Amino acid sequence: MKKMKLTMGDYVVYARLHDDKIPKTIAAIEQGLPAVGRIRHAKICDNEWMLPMPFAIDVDEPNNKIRPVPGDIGYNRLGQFFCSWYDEMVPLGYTNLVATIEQEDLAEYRRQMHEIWAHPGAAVKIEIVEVA
Amino acid sequence: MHPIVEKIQQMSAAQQSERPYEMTTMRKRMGARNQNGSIAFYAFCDMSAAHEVTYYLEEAVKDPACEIETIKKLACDFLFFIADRIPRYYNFHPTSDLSFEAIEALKSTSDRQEVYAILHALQHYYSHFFYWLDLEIPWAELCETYARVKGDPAPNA
Repeated sequence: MKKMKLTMGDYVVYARLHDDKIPKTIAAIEQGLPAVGRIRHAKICDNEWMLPMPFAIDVDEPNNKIRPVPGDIGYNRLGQFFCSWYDEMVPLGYTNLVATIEQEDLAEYRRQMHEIWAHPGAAVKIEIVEVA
Repeated sequence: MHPIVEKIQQMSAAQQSERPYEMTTMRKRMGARNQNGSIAFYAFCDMSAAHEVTYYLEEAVKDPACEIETIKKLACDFLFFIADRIPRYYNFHPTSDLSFEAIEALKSTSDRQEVYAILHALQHYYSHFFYWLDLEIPWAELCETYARVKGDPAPNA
């Protein structure tokens, strides 16, 4: 099974891919990975981070446009970044959902990502990897 | 494909995870009352516009119903506004030079795919450049000060 792997310093977390709903999008993302970006915090929506990527995905699969909840990872075409919500918030709109942090990892994910507001700019590596 | 596309892509790749030197030159630009804060904020706003408007121009090029010479004129006029302003206001000389080269490249072609490729590459470059500007601004501390000055409750920790 393939998962999205995020590495930020010593912190590593895996996210379940939604390749059953958006196979072409996931395939396009996989072609652009692994990649490293500098993470930053959102300024309007609370508890959200963004990570610019060196690729722009034009595949339009509308099957996974959802209003995000904590743990969701979306892709924004205009800004060419991954975005994710790590705690409760009021979403600004819909996102193209590509992956979701597993429930059992959410508490630590929340704790780690909470630091980004005060300390943005860390290098984060995103990969798609095979896991058992 | 016009060689400017590859040049823009190379400059994009150079700034994917390393801070561009133009952030350093911008920080030396002093605005009113000899401070840099307003420079950083205005740069942030202008480059936000740069990447968002270029995105919509890029999307328009993909639409065969959109007349290519009209899109080119809009693109060149907007890019000139950006290219002309940013070295004077923010010390963004390489990005300005690149934008002027993109303008000349757009003027030199009426091939829709080539126009798209130039705008697509430029939009990507601008968006990542904008992200670096975002990282220059100490948002957490700034918002605490803003709240205090405005008499708002302190931000959540």
